[in-house]
Amino acid sequence: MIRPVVPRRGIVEALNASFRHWSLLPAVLVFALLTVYPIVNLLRMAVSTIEFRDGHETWSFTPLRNWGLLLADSTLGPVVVNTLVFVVVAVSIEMVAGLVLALLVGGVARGKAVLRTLMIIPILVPPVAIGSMFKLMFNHDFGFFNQLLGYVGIAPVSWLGSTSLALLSVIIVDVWHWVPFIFLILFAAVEGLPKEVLEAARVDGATRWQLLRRVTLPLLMPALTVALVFRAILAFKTFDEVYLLTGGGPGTSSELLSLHLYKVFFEQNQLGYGALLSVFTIAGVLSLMLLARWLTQRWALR
Amino acid sequence: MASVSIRRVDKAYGPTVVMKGIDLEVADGEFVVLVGASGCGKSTLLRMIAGLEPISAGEIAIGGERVNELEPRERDIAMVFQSYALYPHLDVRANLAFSLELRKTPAAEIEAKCRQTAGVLDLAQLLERFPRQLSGGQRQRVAMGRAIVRQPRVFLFDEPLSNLDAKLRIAMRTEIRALHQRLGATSIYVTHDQVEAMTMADRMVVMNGGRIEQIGAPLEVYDRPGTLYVARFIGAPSINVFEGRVEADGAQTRLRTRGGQFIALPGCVDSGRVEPGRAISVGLRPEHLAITADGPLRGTVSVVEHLGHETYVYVDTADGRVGLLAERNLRLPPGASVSLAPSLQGMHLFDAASGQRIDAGEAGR
Repeated sequence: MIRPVVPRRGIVEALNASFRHWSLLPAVLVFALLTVYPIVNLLRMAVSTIEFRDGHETWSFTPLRNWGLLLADSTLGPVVVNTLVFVVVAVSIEMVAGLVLALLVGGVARGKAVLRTLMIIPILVPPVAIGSMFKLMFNHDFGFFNQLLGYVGIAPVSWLGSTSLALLSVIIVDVWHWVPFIFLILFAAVEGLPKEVLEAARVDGATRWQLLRRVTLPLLMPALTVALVFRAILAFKTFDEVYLLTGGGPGTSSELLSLHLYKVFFEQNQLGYGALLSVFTIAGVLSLMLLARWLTQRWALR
Repeated sequence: MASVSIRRVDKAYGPTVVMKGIDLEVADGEFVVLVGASGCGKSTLLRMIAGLEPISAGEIAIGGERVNELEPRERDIAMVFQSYALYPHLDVRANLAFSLELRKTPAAEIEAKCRQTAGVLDLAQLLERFPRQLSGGQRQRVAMGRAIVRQPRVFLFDEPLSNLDAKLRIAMRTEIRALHQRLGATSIYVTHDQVEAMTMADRMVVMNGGRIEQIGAPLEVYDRPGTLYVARFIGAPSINVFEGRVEADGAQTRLRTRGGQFIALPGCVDSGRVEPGRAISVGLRPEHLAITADGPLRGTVSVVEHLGHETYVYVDTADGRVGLLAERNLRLPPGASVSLAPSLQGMHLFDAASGQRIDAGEAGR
């Protein structure tokens, strides 16, 4: 009987063969350290009560207590509603405005580069500067917006100080800040539209409106989806604008989820409950991302 | 169906004039091919007829009606693009139906027309597919189908076969011609491929540098090229050109070529066609040169190409490489010395300076 010859591999060959796996090690370490560890730690916090005594932190396993705090948190309801209103209203306006601007600038014959550069200036401004800038513009006595109302004969309003207007004011600032982001994504898509397809539609008899609705918009769908989802995720986590402009007030009328989290963590020192809330926020954002993946896959398949 | 008239049309981009005084009449039901090298303005002219490109001066009329101010959609034309320009988000059926839906055609009629068109172009199996699931040839057929389903007054084709492989291109060429014979629709077809132009056109329009060089039926243009440019552009392998000066040789006249060879030009001076001393170019197509025992032109064989049904021989002479159509079974080793004789009937004379054709009785004008 002939036995098959099994080649013996030395340790060097073995290392050589598995080298590409080993070469991943640094990346795996960094990932574990910077991503996995914080998330595991957050999950651990979410089921614990953490207290500081005598310069020590003491952890106790109290999952039910954190859930109890969640159910008892009377501001959470309004905060979630505020956040949803904020995300839906702000992102809708931003999508429409960004699309209109992208289509307009895309149709301009000359000076596209200059226009594009001008458009994206708001993204370049640091959020803190935006906060201070708009705080002045919303000022009751000498602010830009009330002066504008004055010209058309309307009495000054308290933009940041009234419960009915505070969230709207934050939305206005967010729109100013983020329309350029949508514009940028959609403008690139508009520039990449197949020219001959649009021409074919014009020859085929499409009016401007039909061209937009039946050709341009369907072709922009992948970019629209990406812009919408990214913007919705970012809007979900908005913090700086509210913090700087209204601090969530008056009352909880403009308090968004991130700001609420901040208050729970750093003003109420409820680290465990804060972590639980964070997990919920992450779950919300994650479901948005999954929705995004599903949507883009659907469009890629078509 | 309709005629197309282009009258004194100019095209300028700012101060740069790219086309000047274009005149062209396309008769009802005619198949006209615009042909020229890239950048000659043929595609721009087609796009101006379509209304995708504004004209700077002149008038374009379709069916006798001035269309200068009309949008593309109001001109009742259909266009087939080089890239096919199918709607990527619509399946084949919706691509075909698109123009009809825009016109609010009743659904039953759309369905009937789509089915009929799909039948003509053999697309019935593909109606549910999306453009990216189709091969190049299939996309091309869908693009054709999208044009014919509307039954427009005029068909415009912008290099529709350029992206296909050679075999498919030849097949589609025949198919488009057959389709035109069936539908009888006025068609204007742009191509850079002179073989496509020769084989498909009722009349061809040779363009160069934003001008029309010559308009005529394919054989007319081939047999009597109006300019040296047309002579060189039309015909493959291309025409052989000998540059030189006319000189008297006793009672005869002849061309003394730049390479120091002589080509007899019997009767040309007597008929007043050229006068001694004039600089001209003589064009001879490959079929009008023959290998003989004592021809006036001498050279050595460079390459022999057997194409099966015909054989071309390329000979290096003092005036450069010339090609000629030889007897099918000819076998000559490279480097062999041969002498060539031109055929008098096949001789085309062009003025060296203007490139214009010189016909009998034109000398001294």
